[in-house]
Amino acid sequence: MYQQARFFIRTALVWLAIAIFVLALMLLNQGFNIDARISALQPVMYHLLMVGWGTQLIGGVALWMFPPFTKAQPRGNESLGWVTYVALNIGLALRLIAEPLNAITPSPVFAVMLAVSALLQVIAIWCLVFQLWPRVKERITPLPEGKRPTKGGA
Amino acid sequence: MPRVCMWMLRSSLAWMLIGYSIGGLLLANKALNFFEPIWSLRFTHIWMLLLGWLVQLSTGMMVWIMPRLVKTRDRGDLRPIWVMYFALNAGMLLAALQPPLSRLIDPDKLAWMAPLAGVLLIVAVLSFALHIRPRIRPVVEYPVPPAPKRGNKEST
Repeated sequence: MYQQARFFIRTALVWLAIAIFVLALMLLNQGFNIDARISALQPVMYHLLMVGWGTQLIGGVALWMFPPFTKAQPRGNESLGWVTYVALNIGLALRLIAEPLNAITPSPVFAVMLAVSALLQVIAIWCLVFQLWPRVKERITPLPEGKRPTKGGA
Repeated sequence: MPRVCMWMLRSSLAWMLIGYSIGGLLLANKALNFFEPIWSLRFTHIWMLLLGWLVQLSTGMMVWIMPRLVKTRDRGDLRPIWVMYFALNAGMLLAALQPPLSRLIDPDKLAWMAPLAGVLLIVAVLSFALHIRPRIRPVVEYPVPPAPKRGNKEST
């Protein structure tokens, strides 16, 4: 597994640990009424799981496993992958801070942080799709002699 | 990679792009509150990412990489996967578009969309199960034909 994929997968594991910690905190709060403000973490918890863990893990595995782009450049434009990595993680970290704080004490600073977080995450996904798209392709291999193609396509 | 997998993976990437862009707009609106009706796209965002991206990507990958059939040594009949592809995308779109369209059109006129989406999604999952069930099996080591003998000096 190459370095970029390792970064994606290891960071996904970190977000998983943070998401589970936040979830545990919410569940403890549900049982013991520690502080009502903890419930403001709910939307961010879902996104830590789906963006930080799910999307980043899938992105890392896809960058590693998808068919090579070309022999000379098997992973396509790797700089797009790094933009994805940086923008996704900074965007999510900003969200983790700004979303609950903005819900508890709305302020223009948190609002701008949240808007920047949204922009960074969208940029990250566009870069990831642009890197992966050309790697989704058929590998043309000649069928063995006398073998007919599978029903429904190759 | 079979052609149907290509279509599934590319469609899932396209839904990821659209779904995340809608999500970005929702989050920016949460912060800056520039257009309240955009909240009607919340379920569009959720269905596009859960069904259009996540389910489609994972099933497309499964069709591509799961073990091949023992008898034919290929992936078998891929027609159920084409059925799944169309049913999943149509069902997802119907489910995703109903909430925003309900703001524009009389919701009673759109009442058919959700049940039809449900039926299409059931068709999709059954078609997928029909194809993939025989491929969920232990890996079989095919007998490797013996390598042709190289020139043996003693025998020549």
